[in-house]
Amino acid sequence: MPLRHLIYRCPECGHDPVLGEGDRAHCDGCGTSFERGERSLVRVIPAGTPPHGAPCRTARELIEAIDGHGGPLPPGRDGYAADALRRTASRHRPLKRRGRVLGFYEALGAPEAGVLAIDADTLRFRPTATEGEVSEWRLLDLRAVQTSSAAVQVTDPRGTLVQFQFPVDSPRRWEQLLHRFLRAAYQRAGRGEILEFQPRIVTR
Amino acid sequence: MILYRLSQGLVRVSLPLLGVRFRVEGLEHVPRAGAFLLLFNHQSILDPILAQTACPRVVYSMTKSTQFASPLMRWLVPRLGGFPTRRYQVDPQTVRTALRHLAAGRPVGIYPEGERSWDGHLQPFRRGTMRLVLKAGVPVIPCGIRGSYEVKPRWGTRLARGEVTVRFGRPLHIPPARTRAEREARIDETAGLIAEALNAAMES
Repeated sequence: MPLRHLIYRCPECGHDPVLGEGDRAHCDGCGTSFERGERSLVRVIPAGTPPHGAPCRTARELIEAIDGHGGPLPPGRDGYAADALRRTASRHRPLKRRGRVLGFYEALGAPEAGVLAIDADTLRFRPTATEGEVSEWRLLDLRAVQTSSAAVQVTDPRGTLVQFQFPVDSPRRWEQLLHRFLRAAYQRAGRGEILEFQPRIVTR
Repeated sequence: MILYRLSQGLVRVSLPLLGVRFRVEGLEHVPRAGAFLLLFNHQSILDPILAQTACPRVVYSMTKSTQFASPLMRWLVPRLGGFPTRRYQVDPQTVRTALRHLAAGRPVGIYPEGERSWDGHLQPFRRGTMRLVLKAGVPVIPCGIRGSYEVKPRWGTRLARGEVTVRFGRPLHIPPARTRAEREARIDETAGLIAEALNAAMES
């Protein structure tokens, strides 16, 4: 995954989003560049300075700095939207070996481009194709949430897996967004504190 | 399991060519016969390959169901000991397959965190894995993988040079819980015990 999936917002100034490819990312707000350094450190290069000798920070330090700038939601926003590709698991198929069922895997349908949006109560997918139907899920009806490689997956009220991939945005941001909005929705509805988000949402 | 053994050899030969030094410690803690649960930390996409290469026994590992999307992977992964688990819903077939392997005296490998860590630190364990530990009643071997995060973190796109150590810890003999109520009551305590052992295996 590219570095911008970890640093979706600038840990230095809070500018959102951070852009980049591969092991490099750049903030258009303050001009800071980020690149993978030695081992698992990230070199933080202030604008106008050469990379050599720039300070390195750990992923944990960067995550804490992003959280310090308000976490997954850009400043002043109470909802969020991003381009996404949706795939739905229409069926579950058995995987057999030597005549025995080892387990089941899902058959994901064709990807459908659109915009995924979240607000305090709802997750909504609006397909780009004009004939596409808008799908909407009440947050309180979602059964599970998880990230899988570069995608975020939710289980809808019927138990169907719906997967969203983001051509530009960070799946880590979306997982955090879903967690934050779900926690708030559960609290408002008096359903208690969420203990875990998968394989199903469990509350205390 | 010819393919399994071949892949172990291939990985051992390939890692030094990629600049990765590979060390295995604590092999004396791996039983030569009989069933056990092998619980790994999960920091990198390399972990399943490294863990299975390090263990002298053939390990049957829970693998996320989305890995089985392509026909090639559906053919290959079961031959390398993998069986699918649907992480976004409670999956009784996964538990049945795991218990079947254990009953046949085979080791079963699980990543109790459920997904790769973003910052390299151990994440909370999935409660379903703890339920399986308490149901199975077999020795639990904590297996700490150190260095894979530095070589290929979740947010990195390339392999870096480095040293990876797979360390098998002392087996934990966790008494099985006979009833569902007992299992639920002992989940947190069991998770704490395993996390402590896994952290020790990762650090030492």
